[in-house]
Amino acid sequence: MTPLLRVLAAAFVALSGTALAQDYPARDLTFIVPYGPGGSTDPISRQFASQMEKELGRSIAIQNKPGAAGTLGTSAIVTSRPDGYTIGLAPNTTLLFAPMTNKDLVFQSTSDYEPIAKLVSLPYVLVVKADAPWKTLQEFIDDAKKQPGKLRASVSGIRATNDLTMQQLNRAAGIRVRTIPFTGGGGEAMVALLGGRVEAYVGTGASTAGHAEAGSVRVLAVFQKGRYDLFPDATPTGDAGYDATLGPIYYAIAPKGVPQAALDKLSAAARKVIDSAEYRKFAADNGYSVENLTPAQIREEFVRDHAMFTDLLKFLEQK
Amino acid sequence: MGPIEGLLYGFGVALSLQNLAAALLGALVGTMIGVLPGLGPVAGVAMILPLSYAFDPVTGLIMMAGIYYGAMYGGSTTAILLNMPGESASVMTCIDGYQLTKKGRAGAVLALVAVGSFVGGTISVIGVMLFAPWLAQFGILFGPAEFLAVSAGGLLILSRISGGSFAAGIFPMALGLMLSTIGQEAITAQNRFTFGILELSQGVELVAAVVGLYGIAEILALVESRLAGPPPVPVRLREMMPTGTEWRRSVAPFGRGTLVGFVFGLLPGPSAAMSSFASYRLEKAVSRYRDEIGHGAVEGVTGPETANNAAATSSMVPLLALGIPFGSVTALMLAAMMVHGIQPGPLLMQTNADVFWGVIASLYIGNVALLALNIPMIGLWVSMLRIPRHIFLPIIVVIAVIGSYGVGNSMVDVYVLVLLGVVGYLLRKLDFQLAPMVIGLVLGPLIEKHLREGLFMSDGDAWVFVESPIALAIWAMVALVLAGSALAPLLRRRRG
Amino acid sequence: MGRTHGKGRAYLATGAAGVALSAGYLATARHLPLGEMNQPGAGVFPAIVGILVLLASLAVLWEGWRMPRDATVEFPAGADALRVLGLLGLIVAYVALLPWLGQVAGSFLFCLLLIRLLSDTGWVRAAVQAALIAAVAYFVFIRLLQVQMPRGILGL
Repeated sequence: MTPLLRVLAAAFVALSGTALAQDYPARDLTFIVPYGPGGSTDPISRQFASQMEKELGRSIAIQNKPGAAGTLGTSAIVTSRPDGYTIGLAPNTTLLFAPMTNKDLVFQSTSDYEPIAKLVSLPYVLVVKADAPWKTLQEFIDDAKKQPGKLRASVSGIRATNDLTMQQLNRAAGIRVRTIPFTGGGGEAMVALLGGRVEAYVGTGASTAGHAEAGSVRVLAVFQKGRYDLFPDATPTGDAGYDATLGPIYYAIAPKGVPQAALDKLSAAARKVIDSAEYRKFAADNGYSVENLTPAQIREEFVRDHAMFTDLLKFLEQK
Repeated sequence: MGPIEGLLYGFGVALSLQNLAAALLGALVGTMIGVLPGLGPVAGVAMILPLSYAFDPVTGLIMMAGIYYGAMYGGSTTAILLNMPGESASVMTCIDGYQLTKKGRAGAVLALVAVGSFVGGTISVIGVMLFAPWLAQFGILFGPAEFLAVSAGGLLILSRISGGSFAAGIFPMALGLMLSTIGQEAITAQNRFTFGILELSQGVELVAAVVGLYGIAEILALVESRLAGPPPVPVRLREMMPTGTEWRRSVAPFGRGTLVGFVFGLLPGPSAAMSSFASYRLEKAVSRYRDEIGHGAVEGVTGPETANNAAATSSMVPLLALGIPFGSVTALMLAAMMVHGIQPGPLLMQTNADVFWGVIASLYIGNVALLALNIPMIGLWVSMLRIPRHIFLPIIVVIAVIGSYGVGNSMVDVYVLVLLGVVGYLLRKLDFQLAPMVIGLVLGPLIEKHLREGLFMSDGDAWVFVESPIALAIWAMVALVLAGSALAPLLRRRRG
Repeated sequence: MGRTHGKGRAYLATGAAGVALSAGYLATARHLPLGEMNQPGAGVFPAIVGILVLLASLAVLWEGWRMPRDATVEFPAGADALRVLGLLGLIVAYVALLPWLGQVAGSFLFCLLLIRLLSDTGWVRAAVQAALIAAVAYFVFIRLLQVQMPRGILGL
């Protein structure tokens, strides 16, 4: 290539680069959801995407890519072309914990993707049957101490997020409640509690509210710091002195290598959406918490939670 | 609100112009989707889910319910006409349905299936309406022990469901079980047999497998001859209607199918498919014409088809009365409710009476709509047989590929479709049975899950599996059926 | 007319393939954890299934051994075999090239070649028919039902 041509080429690339940044988004976007179209993440994604459409002036197609506990869809986001036109939803456990136990995953560290926004987070709750002897979290823990390994809690899989949450409580309270996997999806873990096959259930507020209202179950604790509006009477574990506050957090992420200008535009639009009254109302209706973080703040959260998961894994492997 | 007032109120909701249109449109779209190979009820409802967010909740749910049983019915159409089931619930229908088509009875069978679906659906709705809160407790009675009895016992009973030699049934079934273990297992999220290929960790998609085993295999078999397939049997209007004998022979299977389907629908898991397996097996055991089943007997079609529609309806019970979806379709309906801020749970009947009774009423309307739509359309479906082969086959392949891809947005599912197409073609050549392979694929994950979860629950005590009276009763029934089918030929020989 | 083969030998071959398959399967499954009785691991069920496949393959071998000599299976031969293999080749090519060609172009080419393979339709007529199939499929599934098929180099 002659020097002249090289300069021209460089100029062209630079020009088209700026043109790209200014015009972005120049076409429609795809938003990958790593779960099937029935899960709780689907409405979250659709709410977020439909409001993002208005901010960006482009339509956003939702693509469900379920399987392998969210790792398949998340991998699809991470390996998509980094042009800013494919983004998606990813949960905290998939991003941070899954790579610790699965070395085949294409994302191994937090630098393999770019955070755009923290969409929502929600706490898990500890639930027992209405006719169970335990009226409070403390009674449950005291009883669990008296008979280690006897009490059972149903979760949605071994080392699924709600299992990890229960293990946090095991560690923090020095108890041994056995977690029993009920993997059918669709609330089989709740059915196990209702059928008396386990003594407790760890799951989301949404899956519990109907049964609590009907008076068939009692919510003992909520795994977070501070009161949970959905169940104001439940003891927050964080306030009771137990370091067990893990719950699902859903982020919007983009693959590594997206032009900074596009990333800025995306996160600016996302922050506007998350601050909107419409989005806040949606979150409140479903028992989600919203925290509007910048990408840099999300990275700090990643570092903090990565350390927490590392600790927890050590505890699990000692057992 | 009592059932009668509730229902009247429900009809008030469902008979609004908008909701009536939603029920009809749902049934129609559902049938269309069900007829396409690779697209079944789950795909249909999933596709409509985003659209339903735009409607008010009752309308959206009514439409989804319409699509659900429309697709359930539509899936049987291609099974009967082309030996290509759209999903696992119509695999049993293929066996006798396709034989009957070859005898020129396609129209009649489709009419019988439409009526059977109507009967099964309608009786089921009455059951749902009267007993929903009470029936919901039935699902709760079933835990790992009871389910292991149903799924493992079922596997034993079903291994020889479609006849042939011992090896012709057990070998494909073992292969099916083997395929079901590929991918990430649910309990500890460990990858198995994926050889480091991430895309394999989602496992073998059932729809792609079924459409490959039957659809692609059938297409390969069809082009073997230079002639354009079996010459289409001309269907005259008189022949579209079942004969008196066919009606008479279908009445008992309608009743048995309804009962079997209704019970299975109350349980978690792929209830529509399991109910059709069970119903076929039941017909083979008790029907007066059991010796004809497998060679083109109406009982082998009407029983399973009635059962899977009854199951589709009664699977609304756990959703409406507990707020817990036991299958993928009802999970999608739950999602639709939650988007609209409806809190599903045991109190749905009180807090959202319009939703509860509206959906019940729409099930009645949908069943009538299905019957009214489909009887006239039978002629249209049968005329599919007259499309020239060189046009028809490309269409089927294109749709099958789209259907397989669309389920999980993954090319791996498409590769499974083609690979199992070849496997199905070869196995069929050697007179191996394909239905047991599908049964292995469906039941394998269930057996593993309940076996392991039961042991987790009991802290390693295997007695847990025979301690409950329900589990014991199911195992006793399994033993009885196995002993019966082993002894029956001996007894018959002695008598003869 | 097809070519006939001894069914017994076909069964022996299938059974042997099954034995090999089960051996490979069991060998791979050995790396999976069996866990404890109260925490059964991911390897338990594959071990059971692998043994079942082995037993089933042995049953196939046994039946192949005892198969009457006159039992046959028929595979297509000559032009018929070419047609079956041609269809299979087209399907494989279609599926393999789909991510690259995209749904519309891929389906069009597949339909065109398959119509030519199965009938005496001329190129032009076949192209029109193939275009129609591809267009209707595109409209119904991608536009109407929003299935996200691969777009390929043409972006369609």
